This record gives sequence, structure tokens and C-alpha cells, in this order.
Amino acid sequence: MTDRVRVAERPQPLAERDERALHAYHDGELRGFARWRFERRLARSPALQRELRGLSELGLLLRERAAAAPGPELWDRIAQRLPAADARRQAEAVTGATPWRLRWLPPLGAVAAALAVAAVMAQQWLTAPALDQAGVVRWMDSRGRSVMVLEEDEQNEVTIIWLLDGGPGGAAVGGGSAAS
Amino acid sequence: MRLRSLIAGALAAALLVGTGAAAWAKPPRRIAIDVTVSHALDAQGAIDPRGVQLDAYLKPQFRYGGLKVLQEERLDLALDQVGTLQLPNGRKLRLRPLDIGSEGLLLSVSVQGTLWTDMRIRNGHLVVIGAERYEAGKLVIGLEPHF
Repeated sequence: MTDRVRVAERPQPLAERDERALHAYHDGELRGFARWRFERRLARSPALQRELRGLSELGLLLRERAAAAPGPELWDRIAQRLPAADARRQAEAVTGATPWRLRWLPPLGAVAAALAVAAVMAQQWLTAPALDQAGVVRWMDSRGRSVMVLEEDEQNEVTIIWLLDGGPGGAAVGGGSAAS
Repeated sequence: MRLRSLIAGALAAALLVGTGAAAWAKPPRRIAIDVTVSHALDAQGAIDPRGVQLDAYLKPQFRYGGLKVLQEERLDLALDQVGTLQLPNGRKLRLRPLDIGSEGLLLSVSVQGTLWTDMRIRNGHLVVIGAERYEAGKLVIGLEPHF
């Protein structure tokens, strides 16, 4: 167990019954009377309201983060448009329709486009290592129990999340058993 | 000239309608998640032939006597759809695909009363969760999404 092991803990979990109902409510699984009854409890319980807000905000954050990250397909899309842009510039050069006062615009546009592409590539280059380090597990609530996370590496092509039921000395190699 | 304009306009309209209809008819993206629930036994026992690969991953890290595969299911889910599976200990495993991006599938996983986690998983990547004690052993859940 080396630096690819991480531990997650949470101090004050909700009661199991509340957590179950909250998740079901958040996922739209409660109907009719059950939904009405939970909404009444929700209205009276600040802790439940806080947890529900947390659930909703977390979902939003994860989606925003996923949407904001530029994917590798971005450069492909830019590259696909380049031949069309070149052809348009060549056509304009042949017709010579651009007034001499505006001839500084294409080079300026090219410089701006090059800067934009460089910025996107730099952003991808800078953010890629951070994303790699993020690993598979992005967030975890283990209800106060210790958890061992073994991320994928050169030797292991699998990600393992292992809840430790016993005390320290748990389930690592040379440690306890699978039951720990 | 006017006829040509009319024909061009009609063609453009037909193209727009066709594209819109195609986009409308496009089914939502589905995610298949292979779920394997196994029982890692404290006592010495056999390794289930269906669990040989899992055993190969776990053996170098953990100590257990035997491994038995209890459940094998494939959940076919749309984005934001919740898939639920009853575990042998009576608790529920709930899976919810949240997003598919260049880094893979963002999947929310909860083991009722035990664990709740969000993971970003590549296509076909295996995630193993050693969940909790169950009948002199431990429940081990394997998740492998395909999208």
C-alpha cells in the first residue's frame, strides 16, 4: 500500500432511514403518500434540508465540471474547419476585393486565432495531469467508516474501494482478512 | 430564376425538417453496467470459476479463504436513470449514470447505509467495492460499465 491508497471519513452521518428516504426523494422514487409524508418531515428538519441541498449542488457541480472540461475532440473540430478557412482566404486573395485599409484584418485574425488555439492547447496541456491524478473515485461518503481506495496503476488495471470494518491493520497485504 | 429560388427553398426546408426529425428520433444514450456480487469467505474454500479474474485482482491485496459469485446482472440505464439491485444482505445497490465525457462515465454509486460515491470510469474499466460483512465473509461488488 503506497501513495495510491486514500482514506475517506465523515463524522456525523444521517440516520440510515433518513438517508434512504432522502436519496429516494432526490431521485424521484417517492410517490403519493410517501412523498407527501417525507416532504412534511423535510420541511421540519434543517438537517434533511441541508443534505438535500448538498445532493442537488453536488449533482450540479459534477455536471458543470464535466461540461466545462474541453475534450480531446475539440482540436479535431478545429482542425476540420481549418481547410475551409484556408480556402476562403485564398478565394479572397484571388478576387482582391478587400480594400487596402482592411488588409491588416486577416493577419490580425490569424494571430488571434493562433493565440486562441494556443490558449486551448495550453489549457488542455496544463489540466490533463491534474485530471489523471484525480483517479476514478471523485467523491465519497463512507458514513464515518475508513475506506481504502486502490487506484489503477501500471500493475493493476482495476480500481478497488475497500471498506474497513475493523480497526487499523485492516485489509492491506500482510494485514487482516477480507472480513476486516 | 424565381422557379430556381422556389426549388432551392423547398430543398432547404426538406433538409431542415429531415435533420430535425432525425434529431428528434435519436434514442437517448444507454449505458450497460455489468454488476457482479461475490462473497469473499473467511474460511478456506474454492474460488468460483466465474470469479477467477476478480480473485486475481484481489488476492495480491487482501486475504480471504474462498470466493463465490452470488449474482451477475446487467443494468441497462439511460443518463440520470437510477438502477437498483437488491444485495444478498437485504440492502440496495443503486447506480445512477450522471454524465458521459471524454474521461468516461460519471457514475453515482450507493450501497444503502454503507457507502455513497461518485466515480469517473472509462469504458470497460472494472471497479471493485468491498462493501461490508456478510455471513462470515465480505460482500464484494464488481462494476463494469459499457457505453
